[in-house]
Amino acid sequence: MGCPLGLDESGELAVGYTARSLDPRAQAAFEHHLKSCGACGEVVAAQRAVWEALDEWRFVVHGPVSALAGRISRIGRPGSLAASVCRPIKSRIVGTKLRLS
Amino acid sequence: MIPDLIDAPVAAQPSWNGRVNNDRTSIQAPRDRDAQLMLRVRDGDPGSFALLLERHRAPVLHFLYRMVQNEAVAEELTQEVFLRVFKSRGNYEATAKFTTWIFRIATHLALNWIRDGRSEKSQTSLDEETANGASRQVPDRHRTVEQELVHQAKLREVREAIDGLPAKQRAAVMMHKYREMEYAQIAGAIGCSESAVRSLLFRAYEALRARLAHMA
Repeated sequence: MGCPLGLDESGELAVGYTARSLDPRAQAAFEHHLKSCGACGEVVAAQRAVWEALDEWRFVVHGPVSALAGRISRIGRPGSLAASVCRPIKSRIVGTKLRLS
Repeated sequence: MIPDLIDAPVAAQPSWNGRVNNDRTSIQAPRDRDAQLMLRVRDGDPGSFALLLERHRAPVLHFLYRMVQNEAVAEELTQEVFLRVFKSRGNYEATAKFTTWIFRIATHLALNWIRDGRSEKSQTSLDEETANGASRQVPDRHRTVEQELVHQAKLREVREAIDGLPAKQRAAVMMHKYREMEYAQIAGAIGCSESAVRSLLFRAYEALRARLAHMA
């Protein structure tokens, strides 16, 4: 197989491989190719660094939504909607864990 | 009309740039549920709007926070997103994925806010403690003080790298990386073609590799 990097004008290959979003057969084929291609290996290593760096940016959100309820109430909606919307919400980003090992 | 991913053909043969898309059931279910909830909102059910808010508020808030990098502004824009959803309920038709729709509204609001240059006036420092605790970086109790300082330095670099991207590139990366959205869905949210999304992501990741590759 020839090096696909020159044909990969949109850069999807390295990004998709790092994100593990390629078709499984393409993922496996590219992984095999990486064993013998330094150029592709460099791009993938750099993309992996980006991916891991972006994974660092996680945060928690705690927040009342009373302000939204108030704005909705002001446009003439029933109080029951405001009450429904006012329930507290607590969430945490967990979906960006590193998927490469 | 926003393209509907659910009805898009699935590639039969793998390709170098093929993305995994073989779990149509798991994609379809949330779409149907959101659409049903929104149709109930249209018919006057307030509880369904509360459910939609509960399901989508955090992802929208996270996206907007990463876009504008300011908690108060992200919260304000998130309210605006859901206010617009609510105001549009009367005209709602389940022709597009709900997520694409709300991210389209969110992207539009964020791009307008950035375009108007308001980001320069309200950038929140990483060192600044929030008054209301609306959002905070995740503290890791296993880190030493020194490790925490290194982490904060890395985080600052990441935020600056993201902030250095043109707004549409930033939006595309946020949706691709943190929401794992398909190109067609990102295209629907940004309001451009799939090939334009490919170009945005290519240039964005190229720039990020140049700035962040040393962090490996």
